[in-house]
Amino acid sequence: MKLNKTKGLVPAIAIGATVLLAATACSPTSGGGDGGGGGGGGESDTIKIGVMATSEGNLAFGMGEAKAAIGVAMEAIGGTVDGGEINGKTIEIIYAGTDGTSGSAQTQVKKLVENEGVDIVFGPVSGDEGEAVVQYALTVPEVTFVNGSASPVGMTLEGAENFFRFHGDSAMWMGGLGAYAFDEKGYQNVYSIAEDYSFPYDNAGGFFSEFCEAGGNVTGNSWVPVGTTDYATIIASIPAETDAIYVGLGGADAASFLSQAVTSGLNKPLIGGSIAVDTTALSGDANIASAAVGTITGGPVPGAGYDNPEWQPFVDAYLTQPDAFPAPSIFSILYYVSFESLLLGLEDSQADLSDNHAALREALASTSWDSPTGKITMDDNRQAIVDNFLIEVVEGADGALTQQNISQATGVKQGTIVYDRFEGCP
Amino acid sequence: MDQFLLIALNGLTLAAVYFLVASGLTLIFGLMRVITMAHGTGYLLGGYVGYLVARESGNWFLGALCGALAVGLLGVIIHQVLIRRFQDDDMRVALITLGVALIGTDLMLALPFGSSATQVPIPQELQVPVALPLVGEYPVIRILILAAALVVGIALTLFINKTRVGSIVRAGVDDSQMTSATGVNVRIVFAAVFALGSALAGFAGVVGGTLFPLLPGQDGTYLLFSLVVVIVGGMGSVPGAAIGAALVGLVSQFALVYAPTYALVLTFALMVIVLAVRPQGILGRKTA
Amino acid sequence: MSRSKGMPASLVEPPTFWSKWGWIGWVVVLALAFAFPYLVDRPRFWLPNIGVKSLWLGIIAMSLVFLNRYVGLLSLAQMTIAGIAAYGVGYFTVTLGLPGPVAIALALLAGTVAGFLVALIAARTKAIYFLMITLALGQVFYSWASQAIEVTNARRGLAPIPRTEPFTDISMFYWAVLACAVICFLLCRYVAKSSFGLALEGIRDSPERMAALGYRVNRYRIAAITFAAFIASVGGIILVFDRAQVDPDVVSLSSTLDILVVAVIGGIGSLGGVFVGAIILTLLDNFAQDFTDRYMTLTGIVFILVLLFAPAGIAGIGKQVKRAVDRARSKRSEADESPQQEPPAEQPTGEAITKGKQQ
Repeated sequence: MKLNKTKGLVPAIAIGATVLLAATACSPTSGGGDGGGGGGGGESDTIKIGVMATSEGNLAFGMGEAKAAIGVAMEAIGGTVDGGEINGKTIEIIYAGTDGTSGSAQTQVKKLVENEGVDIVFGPVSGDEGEAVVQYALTVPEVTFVNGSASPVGMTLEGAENFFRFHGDSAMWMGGLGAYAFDEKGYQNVYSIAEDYSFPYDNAGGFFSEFCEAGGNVTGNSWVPVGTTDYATIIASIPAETDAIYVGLGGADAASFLSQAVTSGLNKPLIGGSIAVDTTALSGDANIASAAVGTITGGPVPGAGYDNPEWQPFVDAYLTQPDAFPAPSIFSILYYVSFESLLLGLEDSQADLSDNHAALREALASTSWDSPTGKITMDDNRQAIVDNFLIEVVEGADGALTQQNISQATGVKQGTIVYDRFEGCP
Repeated sequence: MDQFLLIALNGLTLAAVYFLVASGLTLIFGLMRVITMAHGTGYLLGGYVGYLVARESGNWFLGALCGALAVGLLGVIIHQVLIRRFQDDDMRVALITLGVALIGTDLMLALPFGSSATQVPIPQELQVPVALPLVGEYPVIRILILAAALVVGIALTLFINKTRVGSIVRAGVDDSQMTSATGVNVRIVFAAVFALGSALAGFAGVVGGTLFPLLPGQDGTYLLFSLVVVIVGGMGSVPGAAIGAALVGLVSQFALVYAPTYALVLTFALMVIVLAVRPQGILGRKTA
Repeated sequence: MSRSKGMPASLVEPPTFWSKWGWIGWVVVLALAFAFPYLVDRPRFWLPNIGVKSLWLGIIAMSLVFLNRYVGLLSLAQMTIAGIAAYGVGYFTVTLGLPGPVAIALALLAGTVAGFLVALIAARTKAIYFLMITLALGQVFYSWASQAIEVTNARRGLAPIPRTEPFTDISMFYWAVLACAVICFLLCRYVAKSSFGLALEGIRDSPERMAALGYRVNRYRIAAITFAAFIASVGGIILVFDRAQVDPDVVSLSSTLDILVVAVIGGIGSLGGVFVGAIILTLLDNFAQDFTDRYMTLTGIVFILVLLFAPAGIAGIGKQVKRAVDRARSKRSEADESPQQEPPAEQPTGEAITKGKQQ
């Protein structure tokens, strides 16, 4: 028996070892003789930026949106989506796709930093990935990390001095909506349906803390597992005295909920979480108009009627990018303002990465500019102070559903509470 | 009381979709003793085909037909190329079809609409509630789906038990050598059964895709639910699949109300309990 | 030529190059593995992303192969059990604040007990049912872990789970993990060679006969599954220290399937071959993106090809090549001699999966 095993096994291990060694030899080599992250030296004339975005899973369009956003930013300084030049130094951009899980993010960020030797990591897309990337950032202080669109509240509260976020977190995205719902719309009792994971905790937490403080009541909380597609029973169990329903669901689940609300004749007004009534949900083929019209929501994406002069040029530039959607999604907007902030920081610091990126980080920490979605300034945790948009869904003359700007909250700051699943008011 | 009835009705209409997709799987297993792990992929593919056709032509029935045909055809190809040689080795077939599922999932992601959610469009007149006694307002579309599942279930049972073709199929399962000795081409029968089972999955995809969104991950979800239904109800039994689907649908809906965070856990736990207590399923026959 | 007196010639295989010098191959491989941190130019990438990850993937897949080969049951619950051990470490360190070694010991216990419970539920079932019930059990745990906020912190998971000195140095960690992998491998081989292992093979081949001989068939199966759970738990503990966190994606359907892919490609009958499969999978995960977007399709195609043509996986390739060469040689020689001679009978490789044997 021993003979049988070794006969096949040793050639196998030999093959495996050969494969491994070949891969080691053939793997893409990058600048920097000593292993480890790029960072400290800054002597070379190339600055490498590693971009992380989701290219698989249910956010698979993330990579396309990231490239569109980066394309807009780079083309404005005479570069392309793969690189360009700032102050005589070459910028090289490398892309790494993930599937939205924290494990995939850990693998790719390590590959970018340790194998490709990038100086700056840009991204990721989703919240789970973002929390893993921040934990990793704490272990490599010589690399600068700029967030893409990950929105968990806690990310900038971890004390990572090399981590910068140039947009609001998911609680900030509801800034202004809670008070609006109670004062302007007159909703006093709200029922909450939300997915059971961290993004809706923060998002709903942001809404309800403001709403409850203004005087509102919560008539119940349904925290549903991600991927719940059948809302019929939940819809049926909403108490009658509810004035409005908070829908903390994303993309597909939200679209499903809306169409089931229509078919079961639910006629209560809705309050959407930041991703409940975005373009994916509104432009689908299902008939959701009677449920969706009148929904109010908040987030970093401005609706129609937004009068910032910086906004339309951005949209026009976005539409020229390959694979662009009919309108920029939340991901392309957040990736754009973040990447442009990074470019501005590089320009301000003369692309000088010496002394552990000191000049760059100081420039990033004092970022202040008028982005297409409002003015961006920074707080002490390297978290941006931004404008937030309150949106209502209206039906246009042609029957198409659009998001209309109803008001804006300026200078929204990050709170200090990291929300968890809550019952009633947070 | 009407709340209870409403939830029960929700469970049964959900069960209708589960039954449609699981019936294909139980047919294939019952008649060919192989489990195809690509069944969920067939569901999603059928849904996508139905969505495209219904969207272009405006006719839901055409979409459903095309969805079923497309997946049935694919099933024939998979059977002839990959499965026929190893038909006696159920483990190998399961693993091969798992590989097919991996490929199918990835390729469907590459479709232009593959990464976001779509739903099969239906005429507006059907997207309204209707008043039912005792229950109140109830969506018409769900009742129609329940009716469709009943029709399909009865048709399948009649086909298997009452027609001559059905009896040939049953004979082929019990003793394929004897059956081919009587002059029946067993190979064609098996290919046809595999095609029928796959077509049912495709049809289920269009039906399910009308009620719920189609998106990546649904293939895995519906494969798992089909396995649960088939195991609970008994492999190879269409009435068993109906009972299994009803149980799964009811458990998941009632759990959603009384223990929402554990709804999924309880649904799978049902399968574990049945397997532990009565491994052949509720209406399954004890296999050799 | 080692031939015992009186033994018929047909039963003694002439020693080949490998059988005589095979152990040198082992030494070379082990030496290479230990020297790995010095052989790569960027160890901070290669060690965690490829080295450590291949090792814990391989350990967990080895437990699957052990069950398949010696018990004849294909278990899709091994990743779940590893995940339970990983969650154990997370819960005991992060939530309860226990010191590392205590947490590790408790987590090993938790994983092994979980395997024992799985065995109690499922040990009597036949192969295809066992596959499905372990798959479903895995999903039950995944759903529960995604929701149970008090224990697992739901989707956020438990973090950070740091390594203590001296394992903060990645090379030290890698060597420790390599040592664990070698120990687990030797442990599996030892158990397989022991009388327990031989009884298991008898039970796998013919349970009725073994029962008639007085063996408590089910107890053996339960013990084997529990042992495999212990090995998988070791893999899970290494996983959690490699990733420094644990979340439900560790036990998701796609992680479960990763283990199966590793085992099939590496060789579902070979305890050592799985490490080759693990290396291939980690290489694909890290580098395939550089070549094509659709690398999951590539993985699926390779998976199917292996199942169709090389069901004994990479570990069996040596034999398959040899057999093909022999066949070609004998065909040529019989063409020289006489056209009526029959070519030697082919040994079926197709039984590798059902019989769990490496041919």
